[in-house]
Amino acid sequence: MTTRRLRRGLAAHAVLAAAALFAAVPLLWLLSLSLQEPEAVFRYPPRFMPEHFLWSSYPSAWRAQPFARMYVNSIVTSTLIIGGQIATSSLAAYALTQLHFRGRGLAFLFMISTMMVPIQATFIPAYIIVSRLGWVDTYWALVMPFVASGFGIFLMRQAFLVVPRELVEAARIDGAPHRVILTRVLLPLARPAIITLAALSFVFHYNDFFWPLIVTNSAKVRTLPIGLATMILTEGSHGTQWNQVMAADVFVIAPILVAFVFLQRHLAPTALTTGVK
Amino acid sequence: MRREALLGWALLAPSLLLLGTFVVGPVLLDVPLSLMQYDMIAATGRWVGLGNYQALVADPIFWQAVGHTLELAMGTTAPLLALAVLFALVLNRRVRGRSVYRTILFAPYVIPLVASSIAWIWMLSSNGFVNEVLGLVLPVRGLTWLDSSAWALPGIMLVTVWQFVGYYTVLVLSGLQSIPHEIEEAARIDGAGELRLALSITLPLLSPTLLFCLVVSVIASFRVFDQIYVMTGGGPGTATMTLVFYLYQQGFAFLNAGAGASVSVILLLGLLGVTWLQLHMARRWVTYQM
Repeated sequence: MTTRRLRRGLAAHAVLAAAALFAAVPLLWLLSLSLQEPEAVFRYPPRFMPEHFLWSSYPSAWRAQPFARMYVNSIVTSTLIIGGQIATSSLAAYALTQLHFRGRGLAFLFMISTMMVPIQATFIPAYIIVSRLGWVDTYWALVMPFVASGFGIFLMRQAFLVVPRELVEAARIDGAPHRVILTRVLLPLARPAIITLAALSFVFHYNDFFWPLIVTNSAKVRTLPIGLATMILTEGSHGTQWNQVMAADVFVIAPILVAFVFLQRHLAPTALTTGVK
Repeated sequence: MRREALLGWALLAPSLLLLGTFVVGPVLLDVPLSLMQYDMIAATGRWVGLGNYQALVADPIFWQAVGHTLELAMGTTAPLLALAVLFALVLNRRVRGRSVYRTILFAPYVIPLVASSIAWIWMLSSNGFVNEVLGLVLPVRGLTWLDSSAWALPGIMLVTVWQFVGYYTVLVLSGLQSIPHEIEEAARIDGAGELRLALSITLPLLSPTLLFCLVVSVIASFRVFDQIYVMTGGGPGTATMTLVFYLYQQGFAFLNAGAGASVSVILLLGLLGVTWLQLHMARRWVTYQM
């Protein structure tokens, strides 16, 4: 019995260790390459541990693209989007859960159906609309299309639905207006959902590549993923400096990876399956 | 009552307006646009009927793109779900350090795909680690995956699986944890072995979660773009040309908005069809708990 259990425990660890290696090796390899000479990418057999650490690739990478500006762009646009989504989603969720009126269900269906539409299938008309508004190559184009979110509405509605009715009733009997019920009763209780929405939305928009690629064309509004892609696609006079590309990769990945370690329990996509069954 | 309705619509207005303008509007506009020859710079167009669609059907690259999109859907979804179930089953046991394993496994999900793709270019090079490992069982020694028309698409699949396997694992894990303990306990008392337990109890009870993962993963595979843009640019030749990449080239790189819109319409219909099919077939294998 004990040997069987031991063997099973070992098998479990073997599977998990293999999985962890699979997840970690590309990242460690990336880090290693960023500290080796540019030609290291071609060496056979590959050397995992750098012979000597070449930190110089980091300052060079930092100067190769306007990364400081891109950090600001990425963080400011993601933050604006998150703020907007929390605002529009809570207002909509309030209407959907606390008010009764005809067409409410239909409106909900309309809004969550947008979750299924990939931007890649609508970007041409979306681009035309954005350009008619005069927003091409501005923050407006990066932010406004995402300020409302079907997913956000879904998530906030779920969160408001599980608030006990008596709590809202009690506030109403005390004469609390809608604004107070929303900000003092519902939103504080929906905090976990708000953090989940913010975390998932940050991951999505910090990482988003397709839409920023379409609507931006100057460094003043371009975001980090675009900067990275530009680094490999525009070769310098000596070809692509892969150690610099890898260094840039590391400093784009690092902040979100650190944030993830602290925020991971909010990212657990359990929230996504609520209401599936 | 009228006042409540008024307030309700006022609160919905920002969301309805924005989603209408930037999501639903473009979906609807795709249709007339696909029937036009449209110049994005001059913002003028003329009707060409089904001309864009006829050109599309006659283009062999379009059909390759359709094929690659379907291959990519299967080649990412099948390993993603299989590995996610395996990892989740193991993580669901009382294994020491399982939260550490889960964190490491989930980490790739939060990284920009562009950044992952850059790392994977050198995982998949002829001297890369993938060959070092797979060379033990497959004839891949010396192979530069992304330069090979046979192996470039599997290379794209590999990055995609790497990026998302942790995400689906956590989804499946939460599905597993929502299965009431008593049911498995009862089956065990009735003498069910481990395998029997997994096949007759755990998997059926997990099936709604699996359906959700399946639908989400197939939709996600249809929109794959970043990996292809960074790693292969649709090549070598057209070996990794998918519908979305084809659409990007038609609509943006070549500024041919009408032709692009016709690909969009087909992509949207394809997504709708595939999703409907999965939900329809789900009746045969998904068990809903009472």
